[in-house]
Amino acid sequence: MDMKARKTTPLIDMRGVSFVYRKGEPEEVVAVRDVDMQIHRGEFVAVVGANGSGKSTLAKLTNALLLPTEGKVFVDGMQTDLREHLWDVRRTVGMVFQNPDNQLVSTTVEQEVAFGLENLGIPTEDMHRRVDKVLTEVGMADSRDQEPHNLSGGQKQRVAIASVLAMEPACLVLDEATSMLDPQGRADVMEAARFLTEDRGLTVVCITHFMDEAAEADRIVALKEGQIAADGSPEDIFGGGLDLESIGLQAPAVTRLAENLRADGLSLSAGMTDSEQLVGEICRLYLNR
Amino acid sequence: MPIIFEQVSYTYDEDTPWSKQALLDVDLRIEDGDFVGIVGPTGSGKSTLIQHMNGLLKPTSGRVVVNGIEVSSDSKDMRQLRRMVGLVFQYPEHQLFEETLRDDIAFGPRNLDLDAEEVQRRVEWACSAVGLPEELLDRSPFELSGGQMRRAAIAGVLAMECDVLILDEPTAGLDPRGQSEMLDLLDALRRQGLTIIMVSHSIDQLVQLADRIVVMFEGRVMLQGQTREVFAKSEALRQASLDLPEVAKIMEKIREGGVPVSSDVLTVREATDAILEVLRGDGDAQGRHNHRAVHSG
Ligand SMILES: Nc1ncnc2c1ncn2[C@@H]1O[C@H](COP(=O)(O)OP(=O)(O)OP(=O)(O)O)[C@@H](O)[C@H]1O
Ligand SMILES: [Mg+2]
Repeated sequence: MDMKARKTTPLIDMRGVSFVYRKGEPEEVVAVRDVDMQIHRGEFVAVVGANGSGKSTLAKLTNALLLPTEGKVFVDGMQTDLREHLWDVRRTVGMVFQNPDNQLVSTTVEQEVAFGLENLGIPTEDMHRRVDKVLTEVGMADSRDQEPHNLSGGQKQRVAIASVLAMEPACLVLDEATSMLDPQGRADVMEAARFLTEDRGLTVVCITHFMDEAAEADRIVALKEGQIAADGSPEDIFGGGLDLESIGLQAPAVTRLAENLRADGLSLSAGMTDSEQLVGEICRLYLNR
Repeated sequence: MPIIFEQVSYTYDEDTPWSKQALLDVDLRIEDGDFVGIVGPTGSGKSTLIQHMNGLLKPTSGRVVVNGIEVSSDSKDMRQLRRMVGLVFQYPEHQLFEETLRDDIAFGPRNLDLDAEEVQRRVEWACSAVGLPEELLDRSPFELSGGQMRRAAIAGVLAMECDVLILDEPTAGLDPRGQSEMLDLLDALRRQGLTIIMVSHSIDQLVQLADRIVVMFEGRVMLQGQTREVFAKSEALRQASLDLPEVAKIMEKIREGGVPVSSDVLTVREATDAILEVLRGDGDAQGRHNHRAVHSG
């Protein structure tokens, strides 16, 4: 991220945020604990951590689906627990979950994507243009006339993402939105997300258990038992020095391969997370062998 | 007894304008104790296929016979079939419905008319097998995280102690440690003699576990065979929009960079060996092959 972005107001700003399910009851669960975190416009952030570490809870705090039981969350400067901001907060941060079934309501894919726009009173022509664009971005343009209910899980998911994109949010939160997709679908969605960040400054927060996917983010936030256990670049997180296993993580394939080779005596850079770099270094070793 | 598909076709919403052909002329035979991986792009018919195996769906045409029971016959047989064949759905929340997690996991065993003690034993075993801590048992299944729900759904099916276990993307949503523990569990169950059928997008995982692979594409069986043989056909896999494992892609780039590493590499361990051999210059093609064979598995 560049320094210019750092100076502006963070898009998402969490200050001393905790969230407790069933607060006050005997079975209360502290899911997020005293989190301070800022996400800036245009960042591509991966959130990782073991099952139950608080990732989804954290995500829901960013668009007022949950309100902090302690601390404050600001979205583009708007405090999420003030009712008057609710609508704008939800429009600013669009969220897509793992299972889109419950989110799909219309009889065609096209209507599904247009649904939210109709409510906004967007002119018909503009609406068609937007629908076209987002369906193309997620690779579902050919299925526009299909019934969402007849689509496969992965196809439904791409429609759900398109529906959120159509609202033109500043931030897209993907809560394991790619975890049910086939590899091609996953790559397509990640590519679209990448494109939206780089080309249009969309902020993407991507919760994932795929370490290869996380390694492609600008920044990784690792949660452990509701707290931030690590926050940094992919190299900071996977490059060594962190006890990944204790946070329930694993290094991505490229790092594991590079470390294996180093352990076997090859002179390679430590803690690589970029496959291009590994390929380059191996080719060099081969030439100088 | 085997699972047999003969010329099976299935159409959703037949005779309606939105009818959709999901399976076409599928022939398949799965023997007792097999571990079969089912792969294919989204929408290729994998979920439809496996739902025929416990009678949730019945073929529009053709025959499905599971453990000697013909899927299509009366509902009494279907009940018996579901006792033998456990199915874990793609979305775990589709099979969670009871008030507490404990009741949810106990639901299946209770329906088998087991005594309370046995039900209790199975619930505890299933929970520990999937890594669900005791203290979650009295919670509503809908007050769990995604990965906890996934584990709960799998535990509920495990507690039935079926002979045949079918899992649709069982590691989706599990954290990395949970994923490898789940694979270890499936491996252990296979050793106990269960037949396991697993739908997965992960070639990495299937290489470790599956004896055979069935590749689905547009409702048909595009390819089936021994795991390594099927995955060696990378062209076919690409057509089925199945991705190669990350490490195989890295190897491809290394080859493109002029380093003659083997193209038949699917795991990090294999890649390590293949690269070391070329860089240390001690391997002709034959030697490489032997070396790799030592490390396979
Ligand atoms: N509705 C709820 N009521 C009570 N507890 C909940 C609820 N939802 C989640 N929890 C608990 O809060 C904690 C954090 O859950 P959360 O869903 O945020 O985790 P996660 O990191 O998203 O996990 P996963 O990787 O499994 O999706 C867990 O202990 C979970 O059991
Ligand atoms: Mg979650």
